[in-house]
Amino acid sequence: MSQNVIPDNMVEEHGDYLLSFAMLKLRNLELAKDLVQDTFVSAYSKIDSFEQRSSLRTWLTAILNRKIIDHWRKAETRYTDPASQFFEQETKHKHWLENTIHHSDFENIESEIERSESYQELHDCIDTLPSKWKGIVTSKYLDEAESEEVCKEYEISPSNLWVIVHRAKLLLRDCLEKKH
Amino acid sequence: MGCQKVTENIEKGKIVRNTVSEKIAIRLHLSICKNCRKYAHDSKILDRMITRSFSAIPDHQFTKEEKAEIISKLR
Repeated sequence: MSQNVIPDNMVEEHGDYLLSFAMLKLRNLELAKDLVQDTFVSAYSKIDSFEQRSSLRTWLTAILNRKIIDHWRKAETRYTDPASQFFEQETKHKHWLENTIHHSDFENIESEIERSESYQELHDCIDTLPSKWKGIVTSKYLDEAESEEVCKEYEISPSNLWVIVHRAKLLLRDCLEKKH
Repeated sequence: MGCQKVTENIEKGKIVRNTVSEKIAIRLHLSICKNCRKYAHDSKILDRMITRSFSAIPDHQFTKEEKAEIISKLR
């Protein structure tokens, strides 16, 4: 039963797993460590509600995941839409889809990234997105969450979702092209 | 439908489903607009790249001291 969960064992057995999980999403070690610690603290305080229908690890991961989403949602309460520049460009006699510095062949960028076997550049670009968008991109592509779930988690409507994905992709493409 | 709406609807189609009239409008627009064709193409590449970028699971560990600190908070 829940009384059998000993703090030492819980942290020993699941700490590194949870830290790696948080790093996959956050890529910020200090923040990841903080949220894992918070997860253990809040999990242990409500250990009686752990019903053992799932494994302890699954339960802890769900708590951590919730904390990560909350972090992303809260980190940005107000921001100007960074993609708005694209749409304003039209008035400057330039097509908003033609904002790229060089008209790179995006496939070349993809193969360069594949060859380097590092997605650091792409993650650096994802890091430049507004926090909430970053969370949405991660939920969508990493968790492969259903769109209804993403909308619920981030309190957005379905049409917000595809507008955000659209704008995030414009920014990511632009960011990657500038790096190549 | 302008370029912004068309490319938004391309993303809509990947998330929910486009209506028949949206599908027709997208197809017509893409047949005459090079920029939106490039967007549609690049969007697929981005889908692939982002998915792959999350496939390498990092391996991180707490130090002994950090673990001890967390455990002390649980007591």
